[in-house]
Amino acid sequence: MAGYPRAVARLVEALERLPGIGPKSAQRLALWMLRQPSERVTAMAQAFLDAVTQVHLCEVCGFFAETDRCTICADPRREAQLVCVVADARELLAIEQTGQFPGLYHVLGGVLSPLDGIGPEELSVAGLLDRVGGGTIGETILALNPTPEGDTTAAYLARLLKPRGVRVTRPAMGLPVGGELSYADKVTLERALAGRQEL
Amino acid sequence: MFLERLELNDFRSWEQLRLQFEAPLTILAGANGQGKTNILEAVLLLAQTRSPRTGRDSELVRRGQREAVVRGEIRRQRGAAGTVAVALRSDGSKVVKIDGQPVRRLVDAVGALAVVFFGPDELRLVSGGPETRRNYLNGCLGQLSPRYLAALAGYRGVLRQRNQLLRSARERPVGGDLLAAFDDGLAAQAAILMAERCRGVEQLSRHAATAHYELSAGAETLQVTYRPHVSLPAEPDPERLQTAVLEQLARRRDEELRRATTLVGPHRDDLAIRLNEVEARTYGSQGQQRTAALALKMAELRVLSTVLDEPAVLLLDDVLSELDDTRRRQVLALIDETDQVVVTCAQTSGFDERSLARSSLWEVAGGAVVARSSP
Repeated sequence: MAGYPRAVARLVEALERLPGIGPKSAQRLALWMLRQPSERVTAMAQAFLDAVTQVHLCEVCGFFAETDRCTICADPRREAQLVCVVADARELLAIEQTGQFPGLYHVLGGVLSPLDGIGPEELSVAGLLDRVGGGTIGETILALNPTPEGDTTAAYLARLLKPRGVRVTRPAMGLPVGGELSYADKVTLERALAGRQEL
Repeated sequence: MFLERLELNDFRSWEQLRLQFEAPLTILAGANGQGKTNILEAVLLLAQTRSPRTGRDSELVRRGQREAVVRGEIRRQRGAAGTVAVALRSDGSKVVKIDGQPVRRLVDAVGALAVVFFGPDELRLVSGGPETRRNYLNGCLGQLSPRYLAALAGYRGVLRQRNQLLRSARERPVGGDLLAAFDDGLAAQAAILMAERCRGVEQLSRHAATAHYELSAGAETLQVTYRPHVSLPAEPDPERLQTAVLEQLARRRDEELRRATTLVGPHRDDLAIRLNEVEARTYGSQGQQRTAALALKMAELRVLSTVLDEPAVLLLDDVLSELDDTRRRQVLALIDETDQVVVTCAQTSGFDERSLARSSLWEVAGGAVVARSSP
């Protein structure tokens, strides 16, 4: 039985390794690539290579960087005394997209989960403590998901950070802005009521 | 409330099953291994989004299939009729839809259908181990309060993580701050669970006492109290409860590290059940223990019905044959307190005329349900 030429089969196989891509999608992508002008495919391949060879993690905060430091850490206008701690880069970008956060970040690389073998050594906890030890940081915001793992990680960091004389906060939890109260799920609504604020 | 229609697709042993309920009492009769209990389990799944008979949802998917779907149509005394559907995939993922809309959190699906399940395990509610009584509490309080259910799920999650941490401490030392963070997480969820259990048991206890008085014709008094593993502070509010759990954890830290498991918390709670001031589990006869178990289930039915403002659906799984005539009559009399009772049994000889007159008799055999008679 005839199949794809070996080079095409290898391409399909490689594409299948991408997250969210199954065998059918991989074939579709491979056939599309074969129909493209070669400059376009070369440019794509170059983009892959550039991304993996030129991008590494910022030595200060753990976000993606093309030099030793990421663009955020290198920006002199950012307030160095305020640091927002996040689990991974996606959360950093979500906060960054608000355009309202003036401080710096610290990317942990995950949350504590003994069941997955993730302890403090697997996260950049030591790096965070070093930064705080430097003395310029006045407040750390623990922007971790309100899940049991996120809560525990926040509790752990709070225990380490508070004795070092730094202010430790967490973002408010409650009703989504612009949402309807009657559509909020029961647990969120309850947490929002517990955290109500004086007007 | 009344479950009018139940549909099973690739659930447990059932490839496809469509049932239309009409009578106040539905009797599913058939030999063992025909899938009767699986039908009741499907109803429980709709009510609680999980089955108390398995820890793994994937076990509910029919062998070799990718997805099981259970769907129910519910008629209520108050408010509009509604549908609940639960889809389980063999990879363990789950989608719950209420009136066709997927819920964001599973706890939001609770309450759409309320059920009380009474099977052989529940008969051992008094005589059995503490786990039987914790399951009873979780089943009842979980249907009453989304807060309880969320705390229960949270607690179990932190407990698993903390136990793994204690196990890993055998190979490499675990920092005090790290363990303390898991203590905080555990204590926070434990406090919510314990506060809810305090409140819930108080309600259940009142109804259980009344029910038992009725069942024993005033001959005995039943006293049910919460027996928390961590002793309650004078004021059992979440904050003080949290402190109490943390103190106990600190006290038993060395032992926990040695035994590599969590020794303190509501996963070790129990209920104290006394008949005429005497511990029923130790000193009660089998008959007394079963009457007390029945009173506890009646209390569950009545508490649910009071809080939801309409009766829950009662599921009786193979228990009638285990009871003597008097207790069987008392159980069947519960038909008057609910809109719907569904019973599984091997033989139909145990039913009185009055119950049979209001029942649909369905035979379950060879992968099908066939109607034999209806009222």
